[in-house]
Amino acid sequence: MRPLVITLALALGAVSCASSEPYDYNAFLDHMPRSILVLPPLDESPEVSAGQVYLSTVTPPLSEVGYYVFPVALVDRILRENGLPTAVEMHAISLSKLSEVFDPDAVLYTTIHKWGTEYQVINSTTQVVYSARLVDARTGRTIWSGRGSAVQSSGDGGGGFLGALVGAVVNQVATTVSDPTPDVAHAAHQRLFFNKRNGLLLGPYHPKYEDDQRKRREEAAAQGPQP
Amino acid sequence: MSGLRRSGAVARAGHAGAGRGFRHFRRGVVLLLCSLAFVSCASRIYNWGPYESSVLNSLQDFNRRALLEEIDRLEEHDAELRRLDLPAMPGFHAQLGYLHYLAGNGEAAVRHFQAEKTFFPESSVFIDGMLERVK
Repeated sequence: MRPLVITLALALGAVSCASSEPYDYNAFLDHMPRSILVLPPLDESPEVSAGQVYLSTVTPPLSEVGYYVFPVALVDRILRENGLPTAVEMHAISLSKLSEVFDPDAVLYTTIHKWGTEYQVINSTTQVVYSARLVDARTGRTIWSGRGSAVQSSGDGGGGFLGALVGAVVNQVATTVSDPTPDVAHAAHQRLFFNKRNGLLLGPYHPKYEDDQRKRREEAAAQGPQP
Repeated sequence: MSGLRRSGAVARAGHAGAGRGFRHFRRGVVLLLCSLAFVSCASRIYNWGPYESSVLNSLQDFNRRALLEEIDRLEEHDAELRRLDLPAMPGFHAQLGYLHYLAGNGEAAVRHFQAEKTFFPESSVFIDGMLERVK
């Protein structure tokens, strides 16, 4: 139980230290979007399906925050059909061109840093790390950015070395049946987007949108104008 | 030999499973505490059903049989949403309309594209482009 306590203490410590400096939501509030176009992510990980799993898992949480999210599989197809085979080309499209085809209020640019499961001798670790930047489609201004991450380790169960070894084998077999990465990605999205301290503001389709806007605008006014 | 090894692994797997229950519990506690510390109350607006797995499948290449199965699954979920009077999720009707378009069902494609526009006017410019394609 001790490692758990230490991890928690560190996590809480990190939160309380960082919360002394509130996130600047002025640009977000000035360009409050209704709709978000999620572009296929740049991928620094060796995992080939990372981009696809990212796109399929990111729509529900973004929608649950209260935004209209363009249909990601469709967007991917349309961009490919227009001669943009990879995310690198897609990220280079001008905002005016994106507006012409999709007319989004904001565009989400994502880079995946780590993605997938690594099998060590006695355990396996599934990790998801990415950074995301939300850009106002009219002005090109970044209105929000953040880093999503989550880790799930397995194989630290009892039974000594041999038990752990078998645990790793069992986990590996189980993983081929159901990939844990989507669940870990969900956890990362949840922690990033729904985080009250520096997550996304609630969008227009969220039942508490009006309340959140009023509160956030009051907070921003209390902090004074930002440079 | 491999059969022997496998049965041994299964026997020990049962033993390892005992430790796993605790680990799941512990993971549950960690997630709970994390969610208390980081995450505000996430009330659900939508009922997602098979949408996410359908999106993942259609991002990967799939054959005609899989396409028709996908359409059936999403149509079933659409009927369920209407029966329970629940709002459609962003992108749901556009995705379903596109699958119908790929399957050659022009009429159903148009119906779902228009539903996307009705539920979410933010999609108008994009959906009008899709409707042009279907024509």
